[in-house]
Amino acid sequence: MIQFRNVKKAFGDNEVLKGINMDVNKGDVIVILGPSGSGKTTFLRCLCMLDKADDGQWIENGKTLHLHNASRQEVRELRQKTGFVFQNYNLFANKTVLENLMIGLTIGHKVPQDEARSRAIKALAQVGMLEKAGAYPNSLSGGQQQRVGIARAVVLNPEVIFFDEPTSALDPELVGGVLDVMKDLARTGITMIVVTHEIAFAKEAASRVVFMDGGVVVEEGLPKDILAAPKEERTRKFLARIIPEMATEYYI
Amino acid sequence: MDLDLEFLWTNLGEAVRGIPTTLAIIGVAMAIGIPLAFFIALARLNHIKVLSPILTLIISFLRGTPMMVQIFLVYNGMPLLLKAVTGPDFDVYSVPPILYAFLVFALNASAAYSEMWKAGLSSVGPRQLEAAQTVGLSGPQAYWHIIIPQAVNVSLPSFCSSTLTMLKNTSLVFVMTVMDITARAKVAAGLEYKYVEGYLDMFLVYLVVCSLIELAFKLIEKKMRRYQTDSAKNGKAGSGQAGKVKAAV
Repeated sequence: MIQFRNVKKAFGDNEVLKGINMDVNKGDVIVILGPSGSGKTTFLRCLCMLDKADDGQWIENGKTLHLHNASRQEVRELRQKTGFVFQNYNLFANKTVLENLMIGLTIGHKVPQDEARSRAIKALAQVGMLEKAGAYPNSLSGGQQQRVGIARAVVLNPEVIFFDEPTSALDPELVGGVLDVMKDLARTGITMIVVTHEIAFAKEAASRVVFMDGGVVVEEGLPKDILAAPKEERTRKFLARIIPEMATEYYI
Repeated sequence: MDLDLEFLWTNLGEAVRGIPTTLAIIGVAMAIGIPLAFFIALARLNHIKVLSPILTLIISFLRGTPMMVQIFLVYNGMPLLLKAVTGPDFDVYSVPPILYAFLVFALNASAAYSEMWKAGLSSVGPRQLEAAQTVGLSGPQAYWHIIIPQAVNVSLPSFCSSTLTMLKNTSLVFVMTVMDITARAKVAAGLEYKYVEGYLDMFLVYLVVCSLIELAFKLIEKKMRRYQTDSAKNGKAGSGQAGKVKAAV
């Protein structure tokens, strides 16, 4: 089990995270919901050390990593066991699809070239992108780029993959394909922490839903509980905005 | 018009013999300037305290004064400085003048190339670096494999034009008695008072050398542009940019 404790972050006077706690079991698929500006993305970025948290611990196997003053070595170790899928894919523009997957293995993780290649090919097949292995990212659609983005995280075989609004930048007709890949991935037992507005994905694939607002966790629980019968007023209001049926239910 | 075509032809050989010197000056300027300029650009982009404004000031000196003035200043000033540093026993006039040329051109190259790096590096943006970090690359690895290739790709055309401008400016080093293309052709022409022929020789040699260098850059550009031809085919902007635009919308 991984425990995140008291994760705090402020940008100047703006306190974005006011001490977030979260427990993650192996194989969990945690969906973080919340209005924009609630700190979801910042939370993921702090855990991956893309932003430096002001305070907070990552506790795992009895070992505590202090997010705000991790050594270079600790950052490296942390990055070895995490993967990140960006909203805007951020594929390496100067590398082919296959190279995008291989570079993390060969250079970041010191995996031999041949092994890296076969793992990359396997991961591309898993997301249905093998036929584009030789293409450059610019020639792919957003949905295809995001599937490669997911494969780039998966191929490293991380303990936990963070997804930062992976479908928000996609045209609506491409969202389904990416979500399908993520659902397949969830079934493989990999631990996933997903920031998204896709309620259907939360319903179908999440083991737990966390609702964040104003830099705090407002409530969390099983998807059926949180999505169908939220306890907190803030959660209810948010869900009513994004699920039309719910709005009817509450406003009649 | 009374052109001595035979002299024009024989003197061409003399101008050609200056090519190695000219290329040596450009070569040294590039070898020192390109990496130095990279670090200057990094320091300026990251707004490193004290260093960044000092570098900006030095660059404005280099870019804001004529090269001829810099050459005169270095050629006449450096011996004084050397003498002051080394003491009276050192014969400052034993220093080959080409070293002064290397100094002037390396400094100018650093200033010119740092602007190219700056433009190139800022066009790549921080997101590629973040993505590289999440797959386990260290900062230097990310720069080497991901960011520098993309930055070079963006600024290669301006790298090319600054290099050519600098190459043309090397014709000024004859005032430091460095025997480059200009100096050799001019001295030989002067002996026979056939200046026009001499200048035509220089003209031809510079034209050929510059064209070859431009061609070399074009070939490198073509080789490096592989991943952009894809986008040209599909009529899209660069992937990062496209992503950003979409997100913004």
